[in-house]
Amino acid sequence: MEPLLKVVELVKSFREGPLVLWAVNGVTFQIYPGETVGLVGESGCGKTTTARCILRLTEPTEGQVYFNGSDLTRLSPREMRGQRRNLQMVFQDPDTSLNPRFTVRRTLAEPLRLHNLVSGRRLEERLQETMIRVNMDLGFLDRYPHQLSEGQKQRVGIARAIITEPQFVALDEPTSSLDMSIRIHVIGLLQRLQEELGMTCLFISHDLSAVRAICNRVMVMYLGRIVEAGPAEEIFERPLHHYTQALLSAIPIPEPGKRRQRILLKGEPPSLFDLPEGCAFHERCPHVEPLCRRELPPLRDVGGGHLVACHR
Amino acid sequence: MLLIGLLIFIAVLLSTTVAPSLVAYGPLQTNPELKLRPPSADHLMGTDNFGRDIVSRVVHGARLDLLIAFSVVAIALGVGSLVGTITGYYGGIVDDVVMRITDVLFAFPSFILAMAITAMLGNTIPNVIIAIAIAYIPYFVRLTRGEILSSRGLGYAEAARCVGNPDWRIMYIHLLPNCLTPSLVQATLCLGWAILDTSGLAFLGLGIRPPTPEWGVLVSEGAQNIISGQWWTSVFPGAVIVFTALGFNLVGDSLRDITAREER
Amino acid sequence: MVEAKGLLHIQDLSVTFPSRDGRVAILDRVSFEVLENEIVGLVGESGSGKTMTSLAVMGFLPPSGQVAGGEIWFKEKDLLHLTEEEMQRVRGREIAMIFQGIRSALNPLMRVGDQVARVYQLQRGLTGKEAYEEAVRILNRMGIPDAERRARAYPHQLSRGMCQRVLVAMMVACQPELLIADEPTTGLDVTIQAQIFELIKDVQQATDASILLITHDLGVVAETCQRVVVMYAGQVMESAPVEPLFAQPCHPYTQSLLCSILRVDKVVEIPEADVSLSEGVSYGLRGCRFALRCPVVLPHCWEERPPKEEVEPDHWVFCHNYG
Repeated sequence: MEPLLKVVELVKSFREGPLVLWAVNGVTFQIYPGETVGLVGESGCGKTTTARCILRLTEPTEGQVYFNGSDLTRLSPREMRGQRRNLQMVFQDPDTSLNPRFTVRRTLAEPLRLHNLVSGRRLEERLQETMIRVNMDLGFLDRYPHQLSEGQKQRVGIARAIITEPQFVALDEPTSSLDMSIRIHVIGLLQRLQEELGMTCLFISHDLSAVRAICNRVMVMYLGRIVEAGPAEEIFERPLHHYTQALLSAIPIPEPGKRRQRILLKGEPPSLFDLPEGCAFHERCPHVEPLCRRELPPLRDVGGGHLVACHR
Repeated sequence: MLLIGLLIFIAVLLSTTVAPSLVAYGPLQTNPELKLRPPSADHLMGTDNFGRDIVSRVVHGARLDLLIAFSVVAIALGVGSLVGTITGYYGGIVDDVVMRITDVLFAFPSFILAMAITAMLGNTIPNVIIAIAIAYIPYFVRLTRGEILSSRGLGYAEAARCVGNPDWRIMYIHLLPNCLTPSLVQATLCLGWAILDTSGLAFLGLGIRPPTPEWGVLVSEGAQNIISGQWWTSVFPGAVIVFTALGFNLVGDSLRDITAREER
Repeated sequence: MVEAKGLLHIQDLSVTFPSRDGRVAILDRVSFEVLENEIVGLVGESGSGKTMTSLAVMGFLPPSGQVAGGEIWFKEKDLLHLTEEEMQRVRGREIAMIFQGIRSALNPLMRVGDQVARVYQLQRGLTGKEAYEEAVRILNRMGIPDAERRARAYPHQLSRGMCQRVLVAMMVACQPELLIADEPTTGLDVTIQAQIFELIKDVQQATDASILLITHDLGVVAETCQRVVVMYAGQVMESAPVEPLFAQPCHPYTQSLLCSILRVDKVVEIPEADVSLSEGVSYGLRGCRFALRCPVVLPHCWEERPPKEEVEPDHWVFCHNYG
């Protein structure tokens, strides 16, 4: 099967005066149709920047992004705009991701109008269909964002992303600013949409429990590189990379008495301006060896689609 | 505060539209025997050197002053926000160049700038409007640019891009409407300043010249009479200028308070 | 007059705020206590009133908020009736608080070493030089590597994890008997969060202080707290030791909440119902505010205040279903 999205050696750097910040440092992966892939890591690992590069909301410094065979990075601004009906994104903060002066109807109708997809009565039908899909009362179409609750705003964000029936949807921390009880319903909604629409999704989050609930495959990033990737079950039950192990062990379990063996990492992540040589994790790794300090470990397949970047 | 300002505002507006027809005498109607009469029942503000009724001159002058003031603000706001949006959104060299130009314009007090431009261009009403507008444009560029800078990183601007909006739509249909509030407040204040500037220019003999009734012209014409004791020829027009400018300032200040409160 | 038991005792505390429909009780007859030498978790979603409760204890309610009833006892002191001066003596020395929002809690213009030293000067009466040396020593104990050098840094030069350690250092320097920590790890990475909670637990054990930990994260509660108080819309719903609360939640809200948690260690069944609990909260109800969303609501839940029932030793529920 051909991958829907293929990212090759993506690099994104930011220049701040004489210093260079490597936000994304050589990332390669594929996403197949119908999958939901989780991209996880802590702040500064580059996951959001990767997604923004794929959608060309920021321009990648190097690398290619193949979508349905064609390289998005080579498209002109106009061609890219045309492609945008196929690649959409749900943004993190529901409070600021909706234009405060637009009614819900205007926000949702805009993508359809921009790409000339439907008009007239069909437009109204599509608006209503989509509202029902995200479980919102049709009466909300004529409301303004400040009249909606957090959960409702996030649903509108999701509705906007799916209304053009895109093939690919990136979700940037869609549940991070939501309360617990709202979070689970949004995840439930996303699951349902996954089944109904067969969407291919990239789910970016630092909330691993949300990722576990909804993703088929998971990729773990650290300091701009992918350090481990594989089927969700594999990554969560048998993490191989020491960073993944530490990350999972740090998450508190909501069951008293079931305490994890906590792997406490030393110190803090190094600055993105000043990346260490060799494996980026070696300064904090409990199993560091001399080789780790010199050579960058490649991402190797250790069986069953489970990839790890570590000198083991 | 707001109420007083609004009352003045309305009174002035009325005088431009309704009053001219109510006034008994024409603004250019001279009457040499009646020259320099003090205020009386017939002539509430007295008469000037040529026997013209001052009330009528003031009322007709209001029209001109307000026309100029609103035109100035419309141009300054329009051009200023357009330019401010572009520089705020794109940044880079465009931003640097425009900022340096506005720096230069800000270096001059707006009145001096308006004087210089009027002197260069010539004494006609359109030139006065252009001159004062140019002096105000930098304010609107800066205000709009500031708002655009703080909102261009917001989610909905990115979402607009993500959904397929071309840059010009993101700037003018999404961002600008949300960024106009400070500019609108400034616009009301500028209305007041524009009146003062127009009158000031006319008083100095630039821009509008007599016999066209305009408040500054009236003050200038009447100034010479103060020494001889005929105070009404310049004091009334002067008072009208002050009150109108005050009215607009009050409205602008109250607007600023209201919008600041809402934002919190 | 209520007999003061334990370290902190809050009884029937109500706080009102002005709104379009008159004054609204953001906190409604809140009652719970914190005993000596224990970590109590105050849990709730946004709008539950947990931060407001801690502000009321510290005397930091915003000017528009009024205490409409109830009592707050700290040891033998009636906090609501102390003068501002007396309250200032209590703050810091006896009760200390970490606020939400790490960077905004530190003075951006002062070096962190000086800020910690200031606490020593104010609370413990040390001289400038002694205070600074103590400050460096405690920064070291908080796990800040190279403490001497770091003490000379300004807050913006340190990472958020480091800043949080500085804040914990300042709290510990006060040597209070009660620490109130309001969401001490929002915005911090999970690995750093784990470090900070280990630190807080160590501090508690070393100083025998009690901690009132305000959080929305049930995982943190399960791992760190000994007792839990659950709040919803300004009312207390349930209060119990941590194990019984998770094993046998009694209040319908607690039950729903526990069903909404996503977990890392297993894939969770997502409940069918699609209306979330914390949306559309009504602060005007006279009875139980969960009535709108409660799956087992009874007719008198709306009007009558739910009774406080002790279902097991020390396990209290505020619900008509148990009355």
